[in-house]
Amino acid sequence: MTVIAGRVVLAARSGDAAAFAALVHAETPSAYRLALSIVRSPAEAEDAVQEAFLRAWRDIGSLREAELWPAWFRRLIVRSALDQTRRRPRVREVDLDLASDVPGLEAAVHPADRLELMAAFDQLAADDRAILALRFFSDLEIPDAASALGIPLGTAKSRLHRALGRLRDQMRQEP
Amino acid sequence: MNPEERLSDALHATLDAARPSPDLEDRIVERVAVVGRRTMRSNVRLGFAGMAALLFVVALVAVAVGLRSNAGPGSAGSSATLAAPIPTSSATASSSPAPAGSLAHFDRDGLAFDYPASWKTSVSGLNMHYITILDFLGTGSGLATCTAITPGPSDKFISSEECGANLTVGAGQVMVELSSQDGPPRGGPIDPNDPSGLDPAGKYVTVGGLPAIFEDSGATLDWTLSVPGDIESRYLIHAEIKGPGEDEMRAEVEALVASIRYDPPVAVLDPSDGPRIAAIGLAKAKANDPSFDCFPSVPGATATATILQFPMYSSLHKPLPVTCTTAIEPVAIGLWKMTLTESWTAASDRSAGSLTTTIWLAPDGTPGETDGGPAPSEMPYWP
Repeated sequence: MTVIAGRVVLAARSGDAAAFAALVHAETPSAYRLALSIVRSPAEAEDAVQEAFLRAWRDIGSLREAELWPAWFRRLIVRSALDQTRRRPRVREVDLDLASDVPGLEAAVHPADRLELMAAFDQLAADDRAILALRFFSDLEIPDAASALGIPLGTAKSRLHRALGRLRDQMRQEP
Repeated sequence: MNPEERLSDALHATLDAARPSPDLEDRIVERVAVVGRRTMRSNVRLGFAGMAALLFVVALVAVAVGLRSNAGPGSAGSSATLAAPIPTSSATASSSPAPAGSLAHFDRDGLAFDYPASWKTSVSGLNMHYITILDFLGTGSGLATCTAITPGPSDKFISSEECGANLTVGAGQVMVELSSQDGPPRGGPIDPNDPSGLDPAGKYVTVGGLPAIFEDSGATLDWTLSVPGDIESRYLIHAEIKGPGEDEMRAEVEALVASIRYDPPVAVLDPSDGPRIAAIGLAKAKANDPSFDCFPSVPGATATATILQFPMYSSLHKPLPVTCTTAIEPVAIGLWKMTLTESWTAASDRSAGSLTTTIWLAPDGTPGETDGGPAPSEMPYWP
């Protein structure tokens, strides 16, 4: 999550629409990527980001400390993304070719392996993708991932283990 | 590179290059400019001009609703437009002033309590994201509104309306907003023994005989209440107070909360019935998933087995000898909590550890939510 100057958050909290617009411009790219990791559809990810920002604008007055903004907004993103997946049938619009377009990583893992892994990832339930993305894409420690999901730490740990297990199961099933 | 590193690598390779539509940020900013903020409800000191403005807005809303109801379903435009706010509820004045100190009774949506008879009440029922606003009570005004949006042909907006609750609390006024919340998933009821379940400003209390969370920020008071028979849902009580007279109004709100009773009452479970319920619950769980087979039907008993799968996990790549135990206890919200533990000893290719699975059972033993407790740091024979 992008580091946002506390004064911008404070200004937005006090109702400064321009300050909130600055937050929108700063946070949208990373928020979109986190949402996309959960919904796996660019259109749904954009919808999730929009909804999260609208809720943030509506509720930012309740944010007690500016320092809490990153975790608070991340929770809104995750919540909106998961809600997207529950709201309507899944739409698959994932461009897996993206993986081979990113330079500098081919040496670490063969692109075909990445494609296989992401295909298996796409088959997981949204809740599984959320915990895996928070841990391995957003690189959050498990307590922070639990906070983003709004679940107890122990539940997050067990969900993570189970999600990894299901990912391995999916990979065995991939042709 | 281990599997977790591979997953991280694949996620970053796939997602780091992903970009939203170039106009997404502008679209968000445009929408933000036309939707209201929840902060409208806090710290609004209404003078004469403010009250007049509020009445004017309410009048506009009433006109808009009247126009909307007369226009019929075919009147929606085809381009992106914003309609006037549509009230889903508003405060309703009492028919006559109530004597000071007299109480009225509330009994709806599973909660019953007493409140000052001089307060106004309104029913909302506005269902928002995870939260349904049930009622407003108090001497100020509460309004749950939705702003209608008609998407244009190229508009990706998924919502046809934006909704929110606004409390207007003038000098010497108090308002209480009662809501229910059914998500996001929490994996368990309010647990007074779990410090991670509290925000820094929160503390555990008891309301209506069940665990609850209370947060006091001075001008606002918030209670999060348990919901009987439901580990995921909560009732939310949000109160805003504006002086003068804060102490008296705060006492009124606290008296309201102190009078809360659940209706229907919470199921009272007899601990001595635990073994029978455990047998019922385990039989049903085993019928659906053989990975529960190792757990003894008698709480407190111990069974040994060699397993190839933990409940709800994928198969292990090697048989694992485990010791299985079953425990069951009634919990305050009227459910049985059945705790199933598999433990294993250390060997040359594994560390000792244990795994706990929790099944929440209805009063008759029917399995409901199933969740895991803390997972071991190292899963043996993980694929």
